Amino acid sequence: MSAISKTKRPIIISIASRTGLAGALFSFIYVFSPGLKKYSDFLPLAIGLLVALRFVSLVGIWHMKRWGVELFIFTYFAFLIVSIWLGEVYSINYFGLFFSTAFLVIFVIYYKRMDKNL
Amino acid sequence: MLFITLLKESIYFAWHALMANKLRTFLSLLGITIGIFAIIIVFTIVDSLENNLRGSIDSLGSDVVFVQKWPWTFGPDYPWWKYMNREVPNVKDMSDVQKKSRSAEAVAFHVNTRKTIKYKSNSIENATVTGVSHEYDRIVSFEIENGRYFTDVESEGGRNVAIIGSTIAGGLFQQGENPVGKNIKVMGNKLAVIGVFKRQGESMLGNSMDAQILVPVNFIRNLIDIRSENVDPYIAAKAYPGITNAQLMDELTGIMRGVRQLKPSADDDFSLNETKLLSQGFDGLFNIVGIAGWIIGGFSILVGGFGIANIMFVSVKERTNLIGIQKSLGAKNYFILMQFLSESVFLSLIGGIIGLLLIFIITLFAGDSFGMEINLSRSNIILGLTISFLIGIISGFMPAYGASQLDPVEAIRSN
Repeated sequence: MSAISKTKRPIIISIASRTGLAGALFSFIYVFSPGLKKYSDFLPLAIGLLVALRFVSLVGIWHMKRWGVELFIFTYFAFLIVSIWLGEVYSINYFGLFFSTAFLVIFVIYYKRMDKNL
Repeated sequence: MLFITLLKESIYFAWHALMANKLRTFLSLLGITIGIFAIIIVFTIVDSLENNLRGSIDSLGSDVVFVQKWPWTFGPDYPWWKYMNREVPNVKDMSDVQKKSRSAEAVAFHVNTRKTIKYKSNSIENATVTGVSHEYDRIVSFEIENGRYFTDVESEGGRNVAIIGSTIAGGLFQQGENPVGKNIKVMGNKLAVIGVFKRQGESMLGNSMDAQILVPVNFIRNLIDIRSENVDPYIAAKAYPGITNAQLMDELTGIMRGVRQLKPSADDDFSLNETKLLSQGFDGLFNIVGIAGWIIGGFSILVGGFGIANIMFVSVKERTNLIGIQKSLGAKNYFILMQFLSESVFLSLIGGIIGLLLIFIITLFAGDSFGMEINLSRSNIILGLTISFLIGIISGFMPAYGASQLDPVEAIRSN
């Protein structure tokens, strides 16, 4: 059980959110790679903010909060749009996309069990 | 308005919390300072090196093709024995190219050697003496600060005139003395100084005009053998605007093969080089250095972030009572969240700013040591602040959210 949330957290949510948190931390390093920096001064900030929001959403999901799932959905589509728009500079990572999609499905399944409050 | 008031109060609380324990604050932000320092210093040096190198390469001209004996790049099994027997380009080849080319806006011949230059009792040993044809100033970019370039008559007639670099001028003449009109001696011959180049600074490719003297090639051919490979003779051809280097190279190949009277089945006995080859060679090197710095700095930033997260958890634990009291007095969850998140972001930003300041101080003094300009660019400053800000959010969110979700009664009761 989450120490804070009143809702019992399923094991699969624990695994998915922990894996997602680790992935978000490592993808944060990519934010300030030389390739992104050369494209634009503000691109690292923009993508970094998305990574930070993804991290925040996973913390919310860990605490079984609905806003966490909503934020995760937002960042999922934001990353997809950015990858398609930027093409070669920030290409789609199909490995990450597969896991993100799997996590999204899991989180949506358990959405109704999650707490509505902040 | 309420949000701004809350933000101001959060920053106020954060500042006082950080100042309450200065040693702990300093040790926490040290991790971020070192991480930012590691990443940004590598990026700064790589960017400065790249800019200096590209500036040097650009001074050669991106629209210039060089006709030389040797190519600039070689594959793993290049047939060096074929290149050994090639003739070097000569002045006649240059004249033929000038007459026949329709794609070249300017064509010039270039040789150089190292000699001692004397003026009265002063001398500079091993200075570069460069012999050029008249159109050289239309191909290579340089500025003459004092004096003028060669006239047609001086170039064609091989007159004994010279344009000297700023370092040469500084070494031979007294401060305040105008070199123009004075006579210097090279290989026992008097040369009248007609101009002084504007100071360019060090060049990564060693082609800065500062330590060179420029003389007409028709003058220097009387002193040295310009057909020798030791003087590195080459022909430089600059394309007209709108003509690509590929088109110019095609034309030059045809002209040179005609000049050298090569049979259709014979290989070229000359090489055509362009500065793009140099740029491409260095691109790979800069990428590798940049990626290495990024990986090393990236992991040190993560470690710094873990340090901040750790301290924030301790901070929440210490102030659990206070959080309980604040909540019981009506503070909302998001206010508690913002309070601790502000503290984390503030801490991280201060660490990042200190790291950037250290780099700025280093760049002020390092330029002299490295012999080139090193600048902390705007993009690197933005990147440093971005990383600090984001690390603050990522590190601080978990403990801040935990604090916001505490039950007020339980929090007040805790020790």
